[in-house]
Amino acid sequence: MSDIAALGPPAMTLADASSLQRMLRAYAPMCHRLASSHEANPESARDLAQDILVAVWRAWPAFRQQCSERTYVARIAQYRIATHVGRAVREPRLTPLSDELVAGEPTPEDHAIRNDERAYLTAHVRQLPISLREVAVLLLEGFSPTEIADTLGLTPNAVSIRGLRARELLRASLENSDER
Amino acid sequence: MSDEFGQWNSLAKLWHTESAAVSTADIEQHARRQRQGLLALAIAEAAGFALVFIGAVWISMHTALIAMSALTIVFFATCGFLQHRMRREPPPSGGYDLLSSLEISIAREDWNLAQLGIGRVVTFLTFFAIVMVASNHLRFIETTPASKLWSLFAIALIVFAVLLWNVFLTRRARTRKRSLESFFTRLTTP
Repeated sequence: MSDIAALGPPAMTLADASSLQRMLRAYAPMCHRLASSHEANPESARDLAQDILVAVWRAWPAFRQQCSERTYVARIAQYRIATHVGRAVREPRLTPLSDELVAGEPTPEDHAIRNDERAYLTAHVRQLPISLREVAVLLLEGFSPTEIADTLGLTPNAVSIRGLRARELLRASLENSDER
Repeated sequence: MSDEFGQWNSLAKLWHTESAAVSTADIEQHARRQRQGLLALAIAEAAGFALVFIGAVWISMHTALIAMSALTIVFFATCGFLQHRMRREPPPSGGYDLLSSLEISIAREDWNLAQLGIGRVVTFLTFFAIVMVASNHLRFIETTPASKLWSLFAIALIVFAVLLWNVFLTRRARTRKRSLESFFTRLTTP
């Protein structure tokens, strides 16, 4: 029953709740962005993001300042994504990617346009090969090359090379779509 | 940050546009659902195991097959020990980075597959023993009560069901290992 016990206590104490709220405020948006960069289906992306946040919540007591909080969260997130992608690649694609991604809820016009552009960018990020995508999303999140190398277990040189290639591919992909 | 990474800035501004709101209730509910699912699976597994054990021992003792009773108890005790050992092992703690986490998880799947392999060996040995006992009885089929033969057949079916469960768990472990290795390869191949 160790895997059940590892899911954490069923009810939170006040200290746990405030710690979880702080963690959610700080890192939930990043976890959602990372999840949506690997999962096109919005429901699956939300599920994956929640998986990541639960995993971070469980692992939080083990954080010993060995790196920054953000890097620690990113490591856990990347591992959860790896296991999710490993399962998902064996399943047939149910929702084809579309360049025309529309925001679901009514918003002011500027916000809606930005949402479309962001969804558009996310769709193109998902097209990148895994080895480049992992580096690209962390660069977009604002991680430094050293932090990315620490998170993924690559050398800084490999991160640098992949970052360049990812940027070229992404820009070419976005420009090609704009021309169409 | 070097200039080449600085050129990500314009894309990064767009990337950070949207932020999702998440409540602690959502997370706690998600964690609770995961716990309930795992608990249900563990209970179903334990209940199934207990039922087939009781059934097999009852069949053996009811038809006075002393040797089969002993064999059944040893078989289920071994399988139960292996299952408990696999369940007791804590989930992989994860490595320092993504690649080492994947390596640790792949090693864990190898360990799981080794335990399941031992279980399969024990099951086949038990089958062999059942066949030996049954063939001995079939030699004297005229004087062997039908209940003994039926009980041997029932025990063989129960052991076969345990083998099928082992095969199912083995396939699942192999699939998980393949998917982890696949991601590892894709991540390390530039």
